[in-house]
Amino acid sequence: MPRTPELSRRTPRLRGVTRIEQYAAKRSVKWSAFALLGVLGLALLVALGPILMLAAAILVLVAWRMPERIAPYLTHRWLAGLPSWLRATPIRLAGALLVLTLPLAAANNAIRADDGVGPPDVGAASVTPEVVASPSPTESPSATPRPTLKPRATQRPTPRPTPAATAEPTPEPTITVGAEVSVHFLDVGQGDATVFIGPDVTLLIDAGRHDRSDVVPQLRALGVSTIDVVAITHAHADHIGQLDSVLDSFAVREVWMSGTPHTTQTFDRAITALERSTASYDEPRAGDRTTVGSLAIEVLSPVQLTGDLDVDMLAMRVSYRSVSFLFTGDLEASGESGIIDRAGGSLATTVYQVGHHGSNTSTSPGFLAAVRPEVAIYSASATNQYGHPHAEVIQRLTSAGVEVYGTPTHGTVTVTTDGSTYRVTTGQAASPISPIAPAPAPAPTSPPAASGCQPGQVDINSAGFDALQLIIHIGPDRAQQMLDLRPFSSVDAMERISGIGPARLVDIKAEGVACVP
Amino acid sequence: MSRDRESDDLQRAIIDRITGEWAVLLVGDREQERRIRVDDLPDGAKEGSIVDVRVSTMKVEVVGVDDAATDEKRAEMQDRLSRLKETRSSGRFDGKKPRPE
Repeated sequence: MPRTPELSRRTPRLRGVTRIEQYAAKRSVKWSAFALLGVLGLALLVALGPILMLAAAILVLVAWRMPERIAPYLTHRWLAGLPSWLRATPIRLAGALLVLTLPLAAANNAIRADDGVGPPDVGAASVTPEVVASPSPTESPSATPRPTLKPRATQRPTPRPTPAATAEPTPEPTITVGAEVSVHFLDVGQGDATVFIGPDVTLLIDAGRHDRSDVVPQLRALGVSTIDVVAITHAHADHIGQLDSVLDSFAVREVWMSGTPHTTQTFDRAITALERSTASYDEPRAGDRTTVGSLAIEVLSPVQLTGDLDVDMLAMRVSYRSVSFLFTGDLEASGESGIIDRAGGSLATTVYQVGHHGSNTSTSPGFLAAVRPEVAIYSASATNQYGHPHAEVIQRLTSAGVEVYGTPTHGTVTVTTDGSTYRVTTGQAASPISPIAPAPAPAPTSPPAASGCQPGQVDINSAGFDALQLIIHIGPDRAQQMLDLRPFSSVDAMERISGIGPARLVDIKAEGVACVP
Repeated sequence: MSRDRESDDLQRAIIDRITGEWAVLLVGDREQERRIRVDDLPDGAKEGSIVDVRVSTMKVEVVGVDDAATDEKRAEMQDRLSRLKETRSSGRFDGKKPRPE
């Protein structure tokens, strides 16, 4: 019978298959038996591995303890010629190596197991602002509507077409109509880290403290994977702290710094990470303008470097259409007045990150008058030992009608904007600091009420358990604490109460109910 | 002048920042943060200074300022920054110098 060449070529393969099938059929071997064989083989391998290793280890141990027993078996000519102690050496070395591999292999396994679990992200989940932006559950007696949607104030001249003599036209960012940018003032303790996330841009300003590791997990929780620009205001460890891990964890395109070096290991680590990354590196100067995605950026400081980290501050205003954000790092009053001089009257900003964590070295009255923010946000820890934010700064802001938020009270504070309106959401439900009582309360301007008690006020040293709770932020728990902590030398001394920090103290004083006779 | 007494509790530290009346020190290899009053700093100790400190649970005392080490470290970091600036600039801020003053 004539066969086509194709058929004949295919035949052997067919035949092969058939033979296996036939074999299986003849011996009545079920296909599952092959699987069983495989499993048995694997089990043997798993079981045999340690046994072999153990045998090797025992052999080596014998060789190690009694090399002279092994030495006679080494008949190789040149080896036999060696003195006995030298002959033993290679055996000992090999043994040591083998014994070493055991714990190493074990450690390797342990490390792989750890990798699989991926521990660092676990804690971050709780910080997601989206989760917490929900309306306040229990707290805050003065229930302010939480996500406040507000149109950008109109009485203010729009800052964008700057009248300043800079002939340079501001590069126009491309803006997707209706797209929102969210700006997260991350709760990173006594340090700074703020991230802008828009449809076409991610910009991080400062990178938290050196002794925490909360920036990367929080960024991940916000869905960040690549970062267009990381701008570091200055090299202090509470601002540049985690730049190294940010650079190691995300694809970062650009890093901006003032260029004034520091001598700390934290700074060294940051620069080392920058060197091994692929990010570009620039040192912007006052007057520089640029765009990153839909964000317009004006650099306000430094003019030139002095070598002083507190002066050579990278300060900038970031705008999304007509909503703007001002960052001055830890710049102090003298630096602020420099910015005022150079800005030529165009410093008005919607949201102001309160300089230097709310320290009274910054946010000078003149600067505040020039910036005229609608919202101010400070970043600090609730238990910081510097007294940040200083009461006078909060007082200055609130009496200027600024809505003040702080990470110690509010957790991560998020401003979401479409470029013309914005809303503020907070990680922890609480009203803005100091809902500046419109009633003529005696507190706000007069120095803390050490001046005796008026009718209607509560004497914190003599009032009863119930009366104490008339004071804002004082519930049953804190009232009890107060009874235990008495006497208080002044209303300010209420900071001794656990849970009453500078921010709440400002509320208490603004409310004007608490007094000391 | 730094290490005239090599006692065990002597450690290296760096003055990271001065915040109001406080100097913030980063102590040892782990850069543990400790604060001391600016008034208690020896003459010549300033932000960025590499110093020797005697540490106890209650207090930190700066016993010496190592100016040579400080200068050396600062110069090293300055070099590395300069190199980065030369080789890795994005060019984004080039060619626009309406800088006041």
